[in-house]
Amino acid sequence: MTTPRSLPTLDEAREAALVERARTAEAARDEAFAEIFRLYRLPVLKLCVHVIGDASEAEDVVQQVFLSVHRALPLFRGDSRLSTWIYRIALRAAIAARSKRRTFEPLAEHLRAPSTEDEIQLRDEARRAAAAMDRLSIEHRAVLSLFAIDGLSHREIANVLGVPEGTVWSRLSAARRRLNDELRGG
Amino acid sequence: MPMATCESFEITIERERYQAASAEERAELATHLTTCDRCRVYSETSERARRGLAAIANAATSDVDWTKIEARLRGAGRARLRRTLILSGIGPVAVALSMWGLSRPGARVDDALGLTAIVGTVIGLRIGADIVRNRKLARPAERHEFFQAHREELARQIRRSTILRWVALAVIAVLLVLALAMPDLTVRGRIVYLVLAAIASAVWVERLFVGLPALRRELEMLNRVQR
Repeated sequence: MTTPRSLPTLDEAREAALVERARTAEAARDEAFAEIFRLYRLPVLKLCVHVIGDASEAEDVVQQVFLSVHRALPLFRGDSRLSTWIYRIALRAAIAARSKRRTFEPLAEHLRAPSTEDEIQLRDEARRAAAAMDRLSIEHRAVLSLFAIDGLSHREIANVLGVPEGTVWSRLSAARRRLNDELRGG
Repeated sequence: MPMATCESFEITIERERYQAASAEERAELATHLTTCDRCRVYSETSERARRGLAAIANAATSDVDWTKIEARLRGAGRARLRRTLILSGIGPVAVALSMWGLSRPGARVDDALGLTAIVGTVIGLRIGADIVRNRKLARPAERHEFFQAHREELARQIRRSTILRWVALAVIAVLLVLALAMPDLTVRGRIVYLVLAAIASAVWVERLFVGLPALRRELEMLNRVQR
């Protein structure tokens, strides 16, 4: 039942060094930004895919997020972790994008054609889960999306949402219960 | 089994799934799962959904051309700046040329410069608004509950946009009165007022039909709670 946490994350010292570099010359800022982009592009994209529910739209939002990060990086005050700041920007942008969305590109279409029985079952589960996710409130969706990013600890998720650590677990189980209800209903 | 106990076990199931449960919690959960069908169903159903969602996210993000995105991102700042500068240049020059053609020979320089300054100011304000919008997205309410802070921010934006809409409407009315009802106004004076009224109208239409509905939709989506 355990889930691997696979994505690399920056420690606080490395983050601080990157932010410091970004505050100096333009070239150093671009270099620091390139490293930040390489590190956070995938988790940010996954977060956007889950929240928006559309992969191509999510790619556009990722660009918008990192454009904002690039412009505002020298102004980053360091009141929170760099990663927290980036995920909060991503969440805001993804929510705005979802509110504008009129058409849906079924996410399950991205799964490759199943060949084994396990793959058929996984595809079916994925389809049903994506459809159920679409019916959830944005808060439930956001919590499930943040937990779906490998490598994001519950402490970081609590920081992104600005709630105590204990609250994150109760919000997650409430969202999961809602998703289960939708799965049974749908 | 009382409801509250199962709800607290659901939290433990999540904590165990993400490797945050203590050994004691894990042991207690294992015992509970042997006797509670409800929690077993919760655990199995939610794990299936989690697997499905993870599979989708992995599939949807596996064939992304990052170099293309990176290139677009690298060019985005410069390309955008170039486009903005070209547009900012074309607008005032076009206005200056039109005024030059429309005005009397003696008043050409004054007319062209006057209206070009107005158009230049509007374009400057537009660029400023774009920068502010980008900064806003990156301005995090770092120490506040995310959704509450986001709701408050949207409500503030809606209030500001509503005021702007009414101000724009009032400005349009005043400018139209000035342009059409002042008896001793010159033709070029009327044209200047009408151009300003057209600019204010564009702001009003944008707020009324694009900006405000988008903000309201987003706030409504944030406030929508599951039954």
